[in-house]
Amino acid sequence: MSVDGVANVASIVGAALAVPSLVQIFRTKRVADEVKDRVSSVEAKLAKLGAVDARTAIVAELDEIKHLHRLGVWTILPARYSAIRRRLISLKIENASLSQQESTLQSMIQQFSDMEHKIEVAIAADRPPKDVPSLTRVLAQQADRLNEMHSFIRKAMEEEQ
Amino acid sequence: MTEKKVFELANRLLARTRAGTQHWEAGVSDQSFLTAFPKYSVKIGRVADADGENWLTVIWIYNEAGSEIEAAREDVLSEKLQGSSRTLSESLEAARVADVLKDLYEEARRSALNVEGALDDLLASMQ
Repeated sequence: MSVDGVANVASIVGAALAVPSLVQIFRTKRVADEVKDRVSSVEAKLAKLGAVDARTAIVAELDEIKHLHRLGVWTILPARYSAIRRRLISLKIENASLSQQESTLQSMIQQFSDMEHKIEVAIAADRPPKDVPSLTRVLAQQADRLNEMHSFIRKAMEEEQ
Repeated sequence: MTEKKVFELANRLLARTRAGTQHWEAGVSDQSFLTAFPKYSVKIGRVADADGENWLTVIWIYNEAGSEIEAAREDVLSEKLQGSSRTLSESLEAARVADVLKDLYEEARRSALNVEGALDDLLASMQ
C-alpha cells in the first residue's frame, strides 16, 4: 500500500472514531439548551410571582393610606406616597413580564407623585389638602388598576402552564 | 428648539386624542388630565392668570419617576415661538398655540370622562 493509501485509511478510521464524540457533543448541547430554557422559564415564573408579591404589598399599603386619609393624618402621608411610587418604579423596571403594562404603571407613578405634591403643599400651608374626595377617588382608581394587573399576571401564568 | 418640540408634541397628542388612539384620565386636580407613555407622562391643565380672571392652559411633561421635566403655559410658549419664528408660516403657527392647547385640554377632558360613550348611550336609550 502506498503512503497516500495509508493516509486515506487513517483519515477514514479517524473520522469513524470521531463520530461518537460528535454525537456526544450534539447531545450535550441539546441537554444544555433544554436546561437553559427551563431555567429561563423558572426565572420568568419567579419574576411574575415577585410581581404578584409586590402588587399585594402595594395594595396593603394603599388600604393603610385610605385609613390615614379618613383620619386626616396628612403629615405622614407624603412619605407613604413616595414609598409606593418607589415600589411601582421597581416593579416597572424589574419585571419584563409587565412590559405591556408600562404605560399603566407610569400613569400610576404620576398620580402618586401628584398626590404626594398636593399633600406637601397643604402641609406647608398648614391646612388640609383641597378636594380630599378627589384624592380618595384617585387612590381608589389606583387600587382597581392594581387588581386588574393582578388578573393580567395570573392569566399570563395560567396560559404558560 | 425645545418650545417647537413641545408644540409639536401638543399637536400630535391632539391628533391622536381626536382619533381616539390616545386616552386620558382625570388628574388629582379637577382642572388637569393625564396621559402616560412607557417612560413619560404628559398632563394638560388650567391655571388662573396673575389677575385670577382668566384661565391659561399648561402642558407638563414628567419623567419615569414622576418628576416634572418641562412645562409650558400657553402665553409663554406662544411668545417664545413668536420670538424665534423666521418665516410667516412659523409666525402663523406660533399664533395657534393657545388654540391648540385649549383644544387639547377639551379633548383630554372628553376622553377622561368618556363623553362620547355617554352621549352614544344616551342617544341609544332614546331610540
